[in-house]
Amino acid sequence: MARIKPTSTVFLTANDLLSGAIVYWTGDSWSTDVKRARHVSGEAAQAGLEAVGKAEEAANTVVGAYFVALDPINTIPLELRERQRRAGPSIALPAS
Amino acid sequence: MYQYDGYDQAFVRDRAAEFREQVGRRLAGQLSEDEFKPLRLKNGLYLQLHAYMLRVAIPYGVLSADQMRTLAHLADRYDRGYGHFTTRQNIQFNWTKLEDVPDMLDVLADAGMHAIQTSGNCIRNVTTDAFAGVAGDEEVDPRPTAELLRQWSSLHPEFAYLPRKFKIAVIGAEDDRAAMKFHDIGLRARPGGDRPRYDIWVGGGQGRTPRVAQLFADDVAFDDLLPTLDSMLRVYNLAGRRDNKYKARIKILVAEMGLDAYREAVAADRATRDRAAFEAARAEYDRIAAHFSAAAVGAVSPTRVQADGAFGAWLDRNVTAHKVEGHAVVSISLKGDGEIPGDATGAQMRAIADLAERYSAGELRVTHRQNLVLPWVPQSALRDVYAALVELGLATGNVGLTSDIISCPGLDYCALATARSIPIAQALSTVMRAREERALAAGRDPQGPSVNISGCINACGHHHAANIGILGLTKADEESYQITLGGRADQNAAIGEVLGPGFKAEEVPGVVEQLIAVWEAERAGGESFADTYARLGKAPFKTAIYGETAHVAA
Repeated sequence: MARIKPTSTVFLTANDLLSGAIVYWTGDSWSTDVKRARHVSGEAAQAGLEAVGKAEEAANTVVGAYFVALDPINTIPLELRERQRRAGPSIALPAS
Repeated sequence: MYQYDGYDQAFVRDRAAEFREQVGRRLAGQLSEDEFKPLRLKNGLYLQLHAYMLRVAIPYGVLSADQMRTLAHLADRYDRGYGHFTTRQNIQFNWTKLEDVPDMLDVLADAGMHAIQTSGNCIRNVTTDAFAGVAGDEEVDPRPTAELLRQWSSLHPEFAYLPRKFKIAVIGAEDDRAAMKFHDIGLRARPGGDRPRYDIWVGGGQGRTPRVAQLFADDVAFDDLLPTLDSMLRVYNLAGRRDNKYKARIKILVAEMGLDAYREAVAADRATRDRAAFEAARAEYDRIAAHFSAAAVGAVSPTRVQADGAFGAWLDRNVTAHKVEGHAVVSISLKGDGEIPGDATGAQMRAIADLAERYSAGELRVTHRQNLVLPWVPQSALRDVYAALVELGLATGNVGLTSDIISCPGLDYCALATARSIPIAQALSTVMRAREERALAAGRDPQGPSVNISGCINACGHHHAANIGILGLTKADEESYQITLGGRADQNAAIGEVLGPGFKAEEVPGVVEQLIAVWEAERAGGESFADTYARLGKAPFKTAIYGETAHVAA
């Protein structure tokens, strides 16, 4: 899990092992609701979250845990990919 | 079409059972994600941006009506009611759950289908001409060769951990409808008596280092095909680079060694091998070929079809000549105005399966351009088929036109993508469809350049091979679209050249319209876009775009 520079605000995200759904660490569990994601900043806090990510992967609850850096003002992910991942497909899905 | 025998059936069932056991061990914590990932990839299971994605093979693009219904069932029962047909004659389900995948593989095995080797560093689903066995211009049916290669390459113990993925395509006609020269190995089958002879091409591919394949050997006898491919793969397996995944494809090996040195290495390897290992190939080819030897329909008297209005335009674009008298090959466009290229709902799949059963000997094809084909339609039924497609909203007569856009899923789904591609395809489709309708209304030829879109440099959307290619990139955390010109995927395969600095998403349709306007002004007679570009080069297009468009280069 790549550490992001400690001055950044980040949240921890992953995919649920069973369903593949995107999940966010709330501080004590995983949620599919991005609004419940716990935002942290500072080296110590990041190190703590990193340990959580590793432990959760080892416990086979999630896969691919990593940090997402957030815009400090509006707390939206800085990277295009992460904005897209958070928002879901931008297109109308074909309906059966 | 090919029917699984007891051996094939047991093979796919055993593989599904094996994967169920592997998933069980993963969920029980006996396999880490690092250990499990190559196993799931070998079964076509990716973890994408939002969910797991299961990629199912449609070997050489052939499927029965019942198999299409099976895909519809998977879409409705295990996904969100739709699937995405890809440029490699696969279908992808975007919203699968890991816990459901063993059941999905069982359902597929029951229908004589699988997801084996649709991902991972192995020989992938072998692709071919979607009109194989029915095309009016065909010399040799490539399907028996493709099936032979499927059997040879499935779980091949020596080639299970290649340096990188490996894609093979087979064609049997002069007109290349499978982008054969953009594959790691491409085969052109030619008539050869009892069994075909082959031209073998090597080192083609797209991605970040696009290459058109080079001729490795021509007029190779059938008996030499598998021994040659085996040695070609072995040399690649041993000498291909494993230090850098971006330099690991066979195209890089051939470029770094030189074609002659690669040929010599392959010949040296062949000299050490026991040919007896391949003696079974003749009988197996003949057994497979017997499944395909008889046409699914008999010749009937040709029907004079009254081609009028929209029906006439659809006939012009979506219906092509058939091998068997009185029949036609019907393409069903999955590229309607504003639609997502290659997507079909479960309901559409079922309706198309019903049409195949009623009008096409129960058989369907999937094209590498992300459309579907009814391969055995009597000419007398064309009007009825068209009317049924109109009812289903699937009668867009644009196959081979500009609005018949190839697009990868892009950043709306893909974990590797650097920009979205589907919304660009949708916007362009509307603009280009309007252009085509205007041309038809004015009695002009609606033909235009091919347009393909990829959402990253890996080029799943074949942008390098399009007359106008669009590549989505991330620049300063915003989407930026680079345009390439002059690519083509046919027998005169060529790689597109970058026009210049990229554009914002909303600029792309206008830029494409301007490029088409330059071609229309400059073309000589009935010249195609690719031919005009080959004659004039980039200059007039570049001047028109960068001289006139006020935009900030991203």
